[in-house]
Amino acid sequence: MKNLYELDHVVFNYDGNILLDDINIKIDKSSIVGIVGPNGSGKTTLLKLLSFLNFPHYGRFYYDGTELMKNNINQFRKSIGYVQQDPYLFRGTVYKNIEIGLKLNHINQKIREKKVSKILSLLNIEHLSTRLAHLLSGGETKKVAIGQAMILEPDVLIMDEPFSSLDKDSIYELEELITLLRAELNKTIIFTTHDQIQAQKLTDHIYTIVRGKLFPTHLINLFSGKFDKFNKVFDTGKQLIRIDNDLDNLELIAIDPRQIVLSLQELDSSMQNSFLGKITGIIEDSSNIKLNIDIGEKIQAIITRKAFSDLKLSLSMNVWVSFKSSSIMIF
Amino acid sequence: MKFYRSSKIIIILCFFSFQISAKDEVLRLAITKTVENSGSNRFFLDAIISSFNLILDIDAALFSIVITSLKVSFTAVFIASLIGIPLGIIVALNEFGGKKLLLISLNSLMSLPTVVIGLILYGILNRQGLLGDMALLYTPTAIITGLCILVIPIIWNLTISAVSSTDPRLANTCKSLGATQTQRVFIYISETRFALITAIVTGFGRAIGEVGIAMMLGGNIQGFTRTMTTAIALETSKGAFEFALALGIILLLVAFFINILLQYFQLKIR
Repeated sequence: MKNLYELDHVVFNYDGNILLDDINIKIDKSSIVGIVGPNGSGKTTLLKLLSFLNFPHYGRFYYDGTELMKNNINQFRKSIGYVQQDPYLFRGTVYKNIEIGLKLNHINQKIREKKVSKILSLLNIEHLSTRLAHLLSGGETKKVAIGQAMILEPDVLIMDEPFSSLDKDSIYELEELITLLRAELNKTIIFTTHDQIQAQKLTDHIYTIVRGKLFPTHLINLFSGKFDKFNKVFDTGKQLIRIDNDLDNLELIAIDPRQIVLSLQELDSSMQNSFLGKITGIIEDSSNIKLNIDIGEKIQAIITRKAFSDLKLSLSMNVWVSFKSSSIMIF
Repeated sequence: MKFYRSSKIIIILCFFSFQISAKDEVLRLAITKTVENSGSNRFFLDAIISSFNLILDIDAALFSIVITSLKVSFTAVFIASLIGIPLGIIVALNEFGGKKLLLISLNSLMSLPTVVIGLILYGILNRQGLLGDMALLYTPTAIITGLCILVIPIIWNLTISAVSSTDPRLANTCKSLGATQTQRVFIYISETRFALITAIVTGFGRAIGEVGIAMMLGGNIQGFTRTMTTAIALETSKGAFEFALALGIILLLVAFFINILLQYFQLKIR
C-alpha cells in the first residue's frame, strides 16, 4: 500500500518552544489512524500540520509522494477536510454553512445544490438544512462541520477530538460514518481522541503523542502525576508507583502491559511495584488476553492464553499486579 | 415598518407638545413663574420655541445646510469605509514588520485634532499650495477629503480590533476551506458585520459633529459648503440663536436617529 503521508524527522516550533519534536510517521492511503495523548501533548498541532494549516520548521514532509514546499502547501490543503475540536460555523443556515466551500471555489449553483443535498443525506441531517447554525447542539454542530469539510470531496478527513462532548447515540452515528467513509469512499481518516478503547475499536493504527513526541504504538497505561524524587515515588493522584530514577521534572509515565506479572498471591520478588487489584474487563485478542484491572488506577495487562487459563482468572476476581521499575517508560 | 412608525410618532409628539406650550399662554406663565422668571430663562425658552417653529416651517436655508452636512458626512464615511474596513481586516489577519508601530500610529490618529487636519489640507489646497491648481479649497470635496482623513483611522482601527477579537477558529476554517485573501476579507466582513456597523457609525458621528475641517476647508459658504456645525458657530456669533438652536436640535436628532438605526440593525442581524 502506498504511503499517503510520510514525515521524516519533522519539527514544529512556536514562540521558541518545540511543540512537535522529531516526528516520524507513515500513513497509508484509505487507513483510519487514531492519535491519542494527554492534553497539551501536541495532538492538535500535529493535526494542523497534517492538514497543511501549519508548515514544519525542520524535517521532510511528503504527501502522496511529493515533498511539501511553501509553494505547494495551498494545493495540498485542497485534498484535506479539517474538522476542529470545537467547530466554528458561519452565521446563517446549515445549508449555507455546508455550501460555502463550493461557493469559495466558484462552483455553479446547480452542482452546489446537488452536492449539498448529497452531503446532507450522507450525514442524515436533511432536517437541519434550514436551521440557524448557531442554534445547533454540540453533536449537530460537529456533523455540520464534517459536512462543511466533506463537501469539497477531500481525500483525507482530519478530525480533532470528534467524539468529545457527544452523547452515546451521536458517538455511535459518528463511528458508523467513519467506517462508511473509508469503506465506500476510500477516504483516509485521521482523528485524535482521549478514549483509548474507542481508538482501538475504530482504527488501523494508533499513535501516542506525549510532550510533542510521537510513538508509533499505542501507549497503554499512561499516567500523569508528580514525582517525589526523594522517596522515588510517582503519585498519579490515585496510586503510588515506585520508580528508580533521579529525574527532576517527571510528569508522565507509561507501564508496558506485557511486562506486568499477574499472580494469585503476593510475590516475594525483586519487583518494586506490587498491588492487589480487581479484574474489571477481559478482552480476547487473536493471540493474547487483555485484562483491565482496577488497582486504584485502571491498568491494562496483556498475558498469554496459557497464563490466563493456568491462573483460572475470571471477571471481578482479585489478583496481584506486579511490575519492575524498569518496565516503566518515563517522559 | 413598526420601528419607523414608532420613531415618527415620538418625533411628532415632541414637536406637538412644544407647539402647545408656545400657544398656551397660561401654561407659559406657569412655567415662567416656577423658574422664577429671569431674562435668561425666558430667552432660552423663546429660542427653543422659535427653533421648533423654524424646523416645522422647513426653512429653505436650514434645509440646504442639513443636506450639505449629510452629503459630505455620508460621502466621507462611505469612502473611509471602503478604505478603512479592508485595510483593517488585512492588517488584523497578517503579521508583518512595523505592525505595532502602525497600530500605535492609528491609535494616535484617532485623536487627531480636526483643526490640524484643516490646517495641513489648507496648506496643500490653497492657491499657493501643492494642489492649489485644482481649486478644491472651499468646496465640498475639500471637506470630504478632510473628513476622510479624520474618519479613516477611526474605521481602520475599530475594524482591526473587531477582527482581532473574532474567534480564532474562524481563521482555521477559512484556511481549510481554501479561501483566498479577498474571500477571507469578505468572510470577515460578514462575520464581524455588527462591529463594523458600530465602526461606521462612530466614524459618522465624528464626521457630522466636526467643525474645524468644515470651517477651514469649506469656508462656510451659504448654499454650498455651509454645514450644520459651521452654521451653528456663525449664527450664534451673529446673535441668531433660534436658528443655531434649530440646527443643534436637528444635529441631535440625526445622531439619535443613526443610533436607533444601529440598534435596529443589531436586532436584525443577530
